[in-house]
Amino acid sequence: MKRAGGTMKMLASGDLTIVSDRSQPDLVRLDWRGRSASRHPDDVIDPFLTAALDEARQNLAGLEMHFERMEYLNSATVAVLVHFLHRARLAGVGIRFTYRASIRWQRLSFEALRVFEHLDAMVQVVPVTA
Amino acid sequence: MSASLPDTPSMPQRLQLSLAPDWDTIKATWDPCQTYLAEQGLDPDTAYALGMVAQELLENGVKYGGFSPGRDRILLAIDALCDPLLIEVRTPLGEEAGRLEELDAMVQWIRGYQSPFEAFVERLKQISTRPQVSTQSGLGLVRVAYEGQCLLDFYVDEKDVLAMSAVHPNPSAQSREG
Repeated sequence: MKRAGGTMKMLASGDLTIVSDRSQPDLVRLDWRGRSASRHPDDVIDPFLTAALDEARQNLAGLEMHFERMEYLNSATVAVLVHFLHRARLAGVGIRFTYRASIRWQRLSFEALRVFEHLDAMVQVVPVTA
Repeated sequence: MSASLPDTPSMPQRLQLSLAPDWDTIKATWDPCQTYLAEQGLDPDTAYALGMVAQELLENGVKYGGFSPGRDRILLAIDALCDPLLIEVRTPLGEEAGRLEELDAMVQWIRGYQSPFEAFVERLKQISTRPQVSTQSGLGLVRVAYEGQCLLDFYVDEKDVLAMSAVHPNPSAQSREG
């Protein structure tokens, strides 16, 4: 994990980069970029996500993950995301995923994740058009 | 990775790749698959979805495969000119008991749903409540059916090679007919 600045941290692993931005007091924002296709993505991603979740919980902040600039997620990564989403709910941390609706694979993957919006108000999966 | 495009240079009909069974090699097939599918006239969204299908089948080829000297390659074949379009991954079958039954159960489970979307959502729900993330989530095959819009099948040949296939209606062929 690299520290990219006072309020930013970064995970870079292979073709995947996740930048965590804490510049807003009530929000931990994670921007995903590139490709996530490793065999065991949880080994790399999970510690970073867990740290972000802990930070959000301690600061009574929400978590926002932006996938608009992702090029590819393998199914193992999708499984990690789904599992994390459940953990965030159990921790009482509101979580929002955003994706680009104009990209077909993002629309298909993330529309399915909207099933978790129906569980409670803690989860939002939001298409962006810009 | 060794590749062959056995047909005439102006009209390659089938992409065939012989691959070492490791993750980096599999990931490196993305670009040749996209190039081939684009050359066959598929639109970018369909080419992307089918590239994902090839990746997921190859990942399963590594997981279900059993590799030894002389049986240490995974074969990927994509035929984008036939209708339906065919993606096939062949891997030496591992000796670990129960893996084939697992695969069969997963394929049958997917077929049990009227819509692949329902199967995908159900799988997501199951994964979300498991105590730990597993690499054997089965999500990849469900994704082949849902996002890839493919029908899945598999068989084992007389040499104990597992062949997993995904077929997809060929938009190029249908536009030619139309």
